Amino acid sequence: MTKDQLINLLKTKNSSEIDLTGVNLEGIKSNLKHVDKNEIIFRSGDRANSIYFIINGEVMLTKGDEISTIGEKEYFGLDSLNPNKEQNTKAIAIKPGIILEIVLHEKSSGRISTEVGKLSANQFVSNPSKRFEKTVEEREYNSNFKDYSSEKIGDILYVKVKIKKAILTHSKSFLKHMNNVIESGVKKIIVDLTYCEIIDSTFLGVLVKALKSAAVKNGEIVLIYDQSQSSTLFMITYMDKVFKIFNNEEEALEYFKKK
Amino acid sequence: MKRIFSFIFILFINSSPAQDAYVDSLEAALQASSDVQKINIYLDLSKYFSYTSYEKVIEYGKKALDLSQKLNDKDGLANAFYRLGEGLVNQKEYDKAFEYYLKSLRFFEEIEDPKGIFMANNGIGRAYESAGKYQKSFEYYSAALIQAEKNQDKKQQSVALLNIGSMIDAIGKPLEEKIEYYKRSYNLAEEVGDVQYMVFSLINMADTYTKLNKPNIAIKYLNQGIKIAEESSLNFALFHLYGNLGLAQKKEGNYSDALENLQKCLDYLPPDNLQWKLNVYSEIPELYFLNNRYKEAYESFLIKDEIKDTLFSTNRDQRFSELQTKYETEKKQAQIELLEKDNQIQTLWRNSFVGAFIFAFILSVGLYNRYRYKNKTSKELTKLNNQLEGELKQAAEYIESLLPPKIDDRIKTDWKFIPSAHLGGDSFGYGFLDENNFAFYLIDVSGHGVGAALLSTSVLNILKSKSLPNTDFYNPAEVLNNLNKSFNMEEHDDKYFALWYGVINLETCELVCASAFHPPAIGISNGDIMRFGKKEMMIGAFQDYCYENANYQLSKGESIFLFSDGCFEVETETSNLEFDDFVNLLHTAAQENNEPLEKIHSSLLSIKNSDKFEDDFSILKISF
Repeated sequence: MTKDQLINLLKTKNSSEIDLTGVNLEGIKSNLKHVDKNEIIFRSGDRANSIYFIINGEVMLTKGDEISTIGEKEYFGLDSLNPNKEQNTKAIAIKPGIILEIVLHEKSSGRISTEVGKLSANQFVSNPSKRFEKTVEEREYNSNFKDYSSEKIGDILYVKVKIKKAILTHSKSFLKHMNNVIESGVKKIIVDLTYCEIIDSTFLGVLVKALKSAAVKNGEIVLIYDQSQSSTLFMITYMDKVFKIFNNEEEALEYFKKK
Repeated sequence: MKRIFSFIFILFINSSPAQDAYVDSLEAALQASSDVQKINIYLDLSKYFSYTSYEKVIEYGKKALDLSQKLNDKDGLANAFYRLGEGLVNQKEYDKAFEYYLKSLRFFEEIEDPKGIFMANNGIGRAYESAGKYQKSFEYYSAALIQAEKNQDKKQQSVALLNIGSMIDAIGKPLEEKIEYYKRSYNLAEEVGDVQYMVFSLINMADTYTKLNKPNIAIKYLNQGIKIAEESSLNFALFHLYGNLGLAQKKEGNYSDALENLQKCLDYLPPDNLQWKLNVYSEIPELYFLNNRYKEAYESFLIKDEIKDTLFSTNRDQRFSELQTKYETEKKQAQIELLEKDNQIQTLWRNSFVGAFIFAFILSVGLYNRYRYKNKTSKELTKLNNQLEGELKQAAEYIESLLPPKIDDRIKTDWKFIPSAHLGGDSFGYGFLDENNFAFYLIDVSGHGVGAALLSTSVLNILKSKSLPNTDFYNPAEVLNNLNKSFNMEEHDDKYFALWYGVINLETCELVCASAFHPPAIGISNGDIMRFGKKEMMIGAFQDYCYENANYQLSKGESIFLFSDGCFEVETETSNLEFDDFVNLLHTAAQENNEPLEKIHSSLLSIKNSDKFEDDFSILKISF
């Protein structure tokens, strides 16, 4: 569906009649936004560029004294259907949630979206990953140091960090290890942080630095960290802005297999 | 058994009158003699005891030897060595005997004594014979014969022939050949009229014929011998003659005569020669039996056993005493060795003790030096450490001095900043941008130490002085984007920083904020908990990264807590503190009007079960 088709669809139908869940939004710029409680999505008077589809959460719309609340699978921001219009409502998330912003008009102020990849609404229908069948023959062991082990699975290098406290003291050795890995020309690198209980800022910095080095060589580093298990490593969850983070080895391997 | 009586008597060169008076006269002669005469007297005395006492032979031989050595009398030396060889060979000390015979041969050859050379060769032959080396013995006896022929001494030739003859069967030649040698020996002895050697030759011939199963010829020769011996009173020869006669007659079947002659031979038995007596009594019981004299056979058998026992015990005693002597010698030797060993051990102990002492001394000196050095270094280290700690403390004080004063206006602020021992790189600030807009921010530089602190303060100063070019400080995202563009971690020792920057509009009660790798600020209002700030990358990592603002609706009386990750990344004894737990802690503390930050800090310390944080503890409370 093209942007125009979507606009026409939204213009002709009533908001309650349209289910955007099944709509293929490929080709249309969209952002997935996590909203927190009391977060203002737009104010009245803001330039209306996007319509918003609530994947989950609740949004309060205020227009003067009029207050309405909308929930899952509903959308708002219809002022944007016509170009060069301003929002005449104020949208505030009253629950933390996920909202899909569908950009109908590029912002004139030139802010670049930080989208990670193409998204479609149905991507959130859970899609259990196929288990990646690995055979022993595919694995050749390259190195096995005390703190980090590297294992080659096809063209993918699997680096396991085997230290509980990944902190400053290990940063230098880990950077060296990663540099060696990258220098060897491997383009697909998985770093497994499952074992780590603590990762400090310096160690995260090394991961970022490694990612940058890999990017120069057109390589990619993905991380394995079980996010469902614990949120103790709070800051690592922030890494998903630049790293793909997977819950387990199979998912990470499948990601690279598809590439 | 048949050979038991065929003793070979050699070297009866001079017949011995065997008179005690002879010895006495010689002993008496010693008193008035010169040394040279004394040597001869000693040699004569030694020779006199040749068949009676080997000990005396050796005793007088030694006396002669000592005196000869004193006088350097080569003749005396030669004869003395020969006498010692004679004595020792009978005592079965073959090795020593051989040695002395050889020495005597050397001296006899030196003084060119032909008789001596003959005697020495003969002696060496005897020593070899006694040691069972018959071929060697045969050679030396032959050498003695040649010497005797050279000397044209028929008596010597007779002796040599007798000795050679006795070796014939031993070196594997037929018995008949022996008789040739004995016959020649007898003829030569007869020529010079030496009865002794005539008798010896006859005994040996008879023995050989008995062996050759010709007892009648043996008896004929023996009777001839007895006749000669009795005429010349050769008593010791008569023992052998009658003994051998008895054996020959037994072989012939004439048991009564055999018994008679064997009993007769005992009359001539040299005193105390039990072995010879036993030899005789080995035959007597059998002969009594053959003569049907059973009672006497039994009695003589008992006598035989008695002799055997006595001889055995004598032998045993002798052996025992020999063994005793040997044992004592060995014991003494062992003791000497033990003593030497003991000495060695003591020396070793002493040496090792000295060594250990020296080692201990060196070690203690080394240790003392090390201790001194360590003390010195540890003192220096402590000094340095104190200095560093002092400097870190100064840096912390400097950071604290840059922190804003707490305000109590339209906006109330409170903060708690506890830098870690090694400085965590935290800093924060706030201030009114205009009368309605209040900006506040917190910086957390990665890593620890002075470097992190320096970077932190420089960022803080930029934000405080709003000195970032072309930047709208009302727009947090722009602040972050511009900071990120001008700051590259590769240029700053791989250091990056987390930043939370927010602006509160008091008029609209709105908060606009942007966060770079910073945990969200927490808003608490009427029991509601809000999170302010998005997940974004750190500043310094990706230069074209684009930060976005987040807007929040606030309500009057709301409190906002802004804090660094050091506050909630707390290791407890069992696990790590969950972020949500920390938020709940904030929520609880916020309800207290009295010093909520102090409460948070103490609660976290009690959870942590410690008295300090690893990282900087920085928390900021804004309420309006």
